[in-house]
Amino acid sequence: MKLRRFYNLSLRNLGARLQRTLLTTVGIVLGVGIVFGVITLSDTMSGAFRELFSRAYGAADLTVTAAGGNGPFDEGVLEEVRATRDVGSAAPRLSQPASLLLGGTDERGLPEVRSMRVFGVEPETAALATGFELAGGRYPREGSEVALDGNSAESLGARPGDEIRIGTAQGPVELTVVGTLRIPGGSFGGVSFGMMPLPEAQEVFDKPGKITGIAVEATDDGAVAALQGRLDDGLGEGLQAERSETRTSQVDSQFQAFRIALLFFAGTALFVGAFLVFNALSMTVLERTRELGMLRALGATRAMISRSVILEAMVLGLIGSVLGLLLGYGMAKGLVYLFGRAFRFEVTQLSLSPFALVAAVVVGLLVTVLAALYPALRAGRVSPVEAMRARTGGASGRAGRTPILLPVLGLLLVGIGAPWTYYLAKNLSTELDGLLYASGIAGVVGTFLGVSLIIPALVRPLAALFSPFLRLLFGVEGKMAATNATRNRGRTALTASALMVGISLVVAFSALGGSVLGSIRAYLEGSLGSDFVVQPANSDFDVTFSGKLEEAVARVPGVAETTGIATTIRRDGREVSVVLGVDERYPEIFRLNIDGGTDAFSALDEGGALVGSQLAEKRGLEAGSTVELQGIRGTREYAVAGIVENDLLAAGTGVYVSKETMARDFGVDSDGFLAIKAEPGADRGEIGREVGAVLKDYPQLTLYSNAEWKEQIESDFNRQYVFFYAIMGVSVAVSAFGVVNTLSMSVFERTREIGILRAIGTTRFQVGRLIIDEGVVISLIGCTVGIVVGSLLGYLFVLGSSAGGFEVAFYYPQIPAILALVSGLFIGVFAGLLPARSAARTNIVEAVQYE
Amino acid sequence: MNEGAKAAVEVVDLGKTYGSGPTAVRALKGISLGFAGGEFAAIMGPSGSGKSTLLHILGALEEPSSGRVVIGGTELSGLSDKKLTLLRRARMGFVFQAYNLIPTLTSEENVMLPVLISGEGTAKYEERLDELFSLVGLGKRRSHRPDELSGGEQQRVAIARALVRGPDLILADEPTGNLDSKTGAGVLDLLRESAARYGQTVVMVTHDARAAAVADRVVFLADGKVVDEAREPDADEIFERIRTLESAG
Repeated sequence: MKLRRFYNLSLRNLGARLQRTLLTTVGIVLGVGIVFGVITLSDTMSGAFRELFSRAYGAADLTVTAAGGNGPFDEGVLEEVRATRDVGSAAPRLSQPASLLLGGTDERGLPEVRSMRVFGVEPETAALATGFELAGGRYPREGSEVALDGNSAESLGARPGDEIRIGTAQGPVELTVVGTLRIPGGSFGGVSFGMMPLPEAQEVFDKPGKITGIAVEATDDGAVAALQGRLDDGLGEGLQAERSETRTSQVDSQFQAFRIALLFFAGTALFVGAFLVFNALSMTVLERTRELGMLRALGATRAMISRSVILEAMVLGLIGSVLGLLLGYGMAKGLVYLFGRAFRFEVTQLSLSPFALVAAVVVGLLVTVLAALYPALRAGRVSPVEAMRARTGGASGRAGRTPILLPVLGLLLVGIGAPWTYYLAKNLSTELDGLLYASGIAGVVGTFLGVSLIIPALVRPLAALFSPFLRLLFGVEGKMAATNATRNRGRTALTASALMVGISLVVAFSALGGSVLGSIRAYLEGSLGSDFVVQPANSDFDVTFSGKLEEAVARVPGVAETTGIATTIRRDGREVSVVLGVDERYPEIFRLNIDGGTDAFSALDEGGALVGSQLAEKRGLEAGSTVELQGIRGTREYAVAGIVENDLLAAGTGVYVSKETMARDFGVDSDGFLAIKAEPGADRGEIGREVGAVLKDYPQLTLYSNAEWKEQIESDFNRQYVFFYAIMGVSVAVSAFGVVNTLSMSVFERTREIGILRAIGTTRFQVGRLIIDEGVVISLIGCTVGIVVGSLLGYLFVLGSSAGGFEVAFYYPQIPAILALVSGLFIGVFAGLLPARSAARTNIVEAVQYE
Repeated sequence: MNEGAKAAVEVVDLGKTYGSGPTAVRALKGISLGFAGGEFAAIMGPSGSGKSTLLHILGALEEPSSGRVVIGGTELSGLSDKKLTLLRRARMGFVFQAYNLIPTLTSEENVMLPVLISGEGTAKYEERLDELFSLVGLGKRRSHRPDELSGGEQQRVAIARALVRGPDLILADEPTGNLDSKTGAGVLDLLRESAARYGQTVVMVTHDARAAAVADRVVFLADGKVVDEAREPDADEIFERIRTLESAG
């Protein structure tokens, strides 16, 4: 007698139906895995950024910088700071972007480079200035010496005494390695760091007498707050003293929104997993009706029966969660890799937080138990009489009446939910607001819920719609399968809903992505007057180049016109805008569509500004009003001369100012982007070669022809989409398992029917096909509705994005939609294989006598 | 195919054992029987006598452990599942106690199911369908679903289904078991009539002495062996023999 306690029966049940147990667990495993993976991903990313920031800004108590950014200011400030009361020590630094040449070449034959940040420091205060530790050698003292971060030194094979080459805005520079640096307690791949003597850095980067930050250590911890106020007031407008943590928390808040979006995707996978549990347990309860009735007859209480089902679910949830963690670790690695590819940097170490571990397991368990509640309740309601009664064989041949209330409620939910997605998209690019995100996501979830309520009403019409095709393709089995799918409409609807969620997200995002890409393409073809563009190889906003380069390019025979653009990103609280410094040649190459008169552009020379349409809408700006921007000289007002309707470079959030304004108010005096227009009839191949020769000294820059640039933009875009597709793919995969489960349940319920069919001469193959066809019907319902809902959401996304300012035309994602439909067929077939096999193997004699 | 004497059904020294070792159950212990074409035979016996097993083996639903089954000159042993399925499809019809109609299909569709499964066109069966529905007396119920029919009506549909492709052998497992005696008698008449009309062999397993009395021949099984046989017995005679058998067992 092994069974000691009543509740051990739960474990027995799990063991007895091992295949189903495993199948159910798969849903939880995938759901928990993706949640854990996504939390770990965002932890890792925000950790990496936080580290980057805290290292770059030093571990000092306070940091003095130009207001609102990293602009340079006069090094004379250092003396003022050192003279301030309570300042223990103060370390100046000049932080500048550069590119480390790795020595190899990429697939296009261009030199391989890595983004780099170089700090010019005083040898005496180097340790305080950045917070890097010396790992070997010494700090640079004078001349062209450099201390390099350990990772980069390793990948270059550079030792003290070796020469390295870096690209700067002024051209390449050779430096001698004298030491290696380490980030205490971690490593950040992707970006390289170097330290140089301050005077040398000022010369190399053409910033004579300038620094970008001062790390300040107070004499004692208690004085930090007072010192901050004193510095803030004393140094005057344009400079600020910040606690180092402040910047870190800014980074965090930016990641918050991203994290919510990721968790939303992960949540859909978990939702689908929960549905799997619900379905499997309902099946178990149904299967055991007689057994449960018998237990009740023997004196088990309702609560005992319900508890035993819950217990079963908890065991499932626990096993699934633990396995999910293992899978999640793998997923996190994959996601971090994909994320790195998509956004062009790499992280070598995952940060595994106990929070992520606990959250994933708790969520996994909770979802499982919640999904088990209804089946458990139903198990408890089984009356003892059931033990005596013959099983009625599940659903009858005729589906019940369609309830009116639920679809109406569903339509209502869709009506309320869908517009929210519109507002989400509308504000997405200018606001990084967690609440806005959450409400937008609530809108999407509401839409899905609403559609799930409508689907039961759609099952029969859709099945009827597919029926002739299936009959054509699969004969009588196809028709029977379509009817079978409508027999347990609730279950078919649930299964299809789960699939619908994943498919519609894929379609919606394809619609948005395709439309944005299509609009960019249309813009590039219609408005861009350049033939070549020069851009940093890694699309790094920080990389710039000097005006000498543009002059050299302009001298190349056949070049008609060039225009350089300087950019800087401004973050004001949650609002993001891009300031672009442009010259008078800009409108000749970029055919701007300005609302406010054609000569509005000339107003830039008088200190005016042109504003992108999205930003204008947000702030309620129009020609004649003023726009406030925070720069290195404090917050200033600029007269708005016009609104730019086709602001491609900044996606509607741009503020166009003159180069003079840019250098004076924002401290950016070199360009990061160059557009080149050839003379009509000139040999473009020849020009490309000549400009390429000019660029030889700037390996961090890449020359693109228009066609290549378009390709580059598209491939960048696609890389980012692959990342989202990977996450959504998981929820589609989980829902495919849901189809497997539903089909197993159908096979079980119809054991007798299958037996009869076999007895009267249906071959195993035919019976198997019947089940597979049913799977196809279910997944086609899910995919068809998913495509419709996805198209609607996609359209709202696109509409929202357009209303936000940047004009996006709606391009229907035909190929993803067709792929979704085809994948519906495939999911149906593959999900059907296993249940079909068990149906084909049905023992006829037992099945026919089955009650 | 439908006219003339039907090929005989023959079983020789049939044995069936379930399980193995000490827990093995020998359901059939060497049964040899022959059924002539057009014969209506009933198989009777107490529970556990092996009558259902015999029926399943005759229907190629189960494989015997030993012995041979020959149906219409075809030896069953060694045939693949696919061949057996095709044999069932072409030569046999089944009538079950629990009717076993497909609930999603109408009566007409249920009857046509064997035709649909075999992939034959339904067009040439139109007449046959009319004929069968008038035979079973359900002409007005052709588009009704099983749950709209009474038990007797469902069993009539099941019989029409068994007959539709003109099989050589009809196997009936307690066809009247779920019916009251009046309805049951109607169903039996139908079976008898169709067997006579189409020259089919009918083998019926039953508990019911009155049902067995309709048959040409009654075979009595006990403990996996044939213990008695009667030609055209009446119900009282059958009842008597059953009583003897049960008291002996």
